[in-house]
Amino acid sequence: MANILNFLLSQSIFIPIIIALIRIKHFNRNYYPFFLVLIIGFFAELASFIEIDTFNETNAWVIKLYSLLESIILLYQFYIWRNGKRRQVIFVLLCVICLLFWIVEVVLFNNFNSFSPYFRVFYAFVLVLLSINQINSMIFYHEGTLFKNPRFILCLGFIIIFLYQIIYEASYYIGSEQSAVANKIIMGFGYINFSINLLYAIAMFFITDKKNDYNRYFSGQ
Amino acid sequence: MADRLFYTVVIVSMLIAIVIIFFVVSVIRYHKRYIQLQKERIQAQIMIQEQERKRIANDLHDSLGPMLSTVKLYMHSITVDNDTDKQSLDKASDYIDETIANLREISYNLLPGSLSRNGLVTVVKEFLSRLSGRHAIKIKFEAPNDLAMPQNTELHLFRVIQEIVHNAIKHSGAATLKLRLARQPDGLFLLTEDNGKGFDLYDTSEASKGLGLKSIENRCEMINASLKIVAKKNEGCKIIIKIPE
Repeated sequence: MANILNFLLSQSIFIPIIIALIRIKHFNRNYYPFFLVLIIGFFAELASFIEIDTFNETNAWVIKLYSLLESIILLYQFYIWRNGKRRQVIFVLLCVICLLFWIVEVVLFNNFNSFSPYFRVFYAFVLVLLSINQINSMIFYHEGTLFKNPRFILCLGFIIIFLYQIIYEASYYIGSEQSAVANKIIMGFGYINFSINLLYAIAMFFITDKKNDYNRYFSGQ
Repeated sequence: MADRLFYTVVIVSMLIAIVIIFFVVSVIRYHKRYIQLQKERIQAQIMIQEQERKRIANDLHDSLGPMLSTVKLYMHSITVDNDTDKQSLDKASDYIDETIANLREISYNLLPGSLSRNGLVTVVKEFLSRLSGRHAIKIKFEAPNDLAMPQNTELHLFRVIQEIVHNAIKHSGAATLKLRLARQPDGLFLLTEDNGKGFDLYDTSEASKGLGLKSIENRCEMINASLKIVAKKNEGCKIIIKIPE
């Protein structure tokens, strides 16, 4: 029952995907990497559910693969947002570090089918720092309402979800049967995930392709 | 198990602490960058304003001035017998003289041409002598004659003095204004003091009325000078500007 509830909560990822698909004509290309993360996330949740519920197997490999893809694609997303070749080296370096970390944790320590928190904590930490930097930059340089800015909303979502992910992984590491607090934190992840998916849906709603707006003036529409 | 719990909590707490510290440092860093950007914008505006003033002053001086003089010359060459016509010509000639004088005054206010040749002290004295007699306020100016400084500093300091004098005339209701330029071991000082009605510095800045004060602040920043304004209602106003050597 808990599995099904968690699955249903996780399927809320479909809401931002649907909104993005409805508004696909007005969708800004700068947000394609994030959209890709949503689609991969949707399939990862589906694969996890099938592994656990149908095959009674662990979904560790799904989570590990998804974590790697999520980290690399979101780093690329931040690279696009920062919009500067100047920072290319930093982002390439972060991608390489993430990849090496993942290879060391998964391949060298040969634990593709068991849970380990290190990589997930590491990339969550990096993404929280990048989100904070992005938000601060927007606070000072963005003109207009920040709460209607999809980038700002997404970064807020990243900060909440990835900070929670750090605490969640730590709780998982301690073990739900060892600590009542850890157990509550683990159980709460589904609800936090649901709330963040709603936040992503709002962000998807505010995404507009400004280039199309400019083209409208030239085409005389 | 207790060890595992302890170390996990410590590590997570440290990560969250790093996130918070990063947030604060990032805010400070962006704030500094933003302030720097604002300063650069204001400085660019002031530089553009100065260039524009220079262009207008040169146009007035080189183009309109000679043309008016030529007009006057032609008017003098006209011989008329009729007394009424003669009176009209004399009147027109007087108006042209007045226009030329006004033009020179405007041109001088826009850019005192003698600043680069004669230095700040002479130009300030000339500026104050032009004002004397026109206003009730008595202005005293003290400065050593051998006061050398970069041309850029001279220009900005002159504009600051112009602003202070205009503010005193327009708003202070003061009977006297003292201006003193002095070289001290730690830098060059401009000290001003008036005995006017004073003002509340905070209120003036908050109400965005103090555009003149903002201009003084910006120009001081451009020459790396520190500015201190001591003003209270009914207690006059003192301004201390220190330009480091």
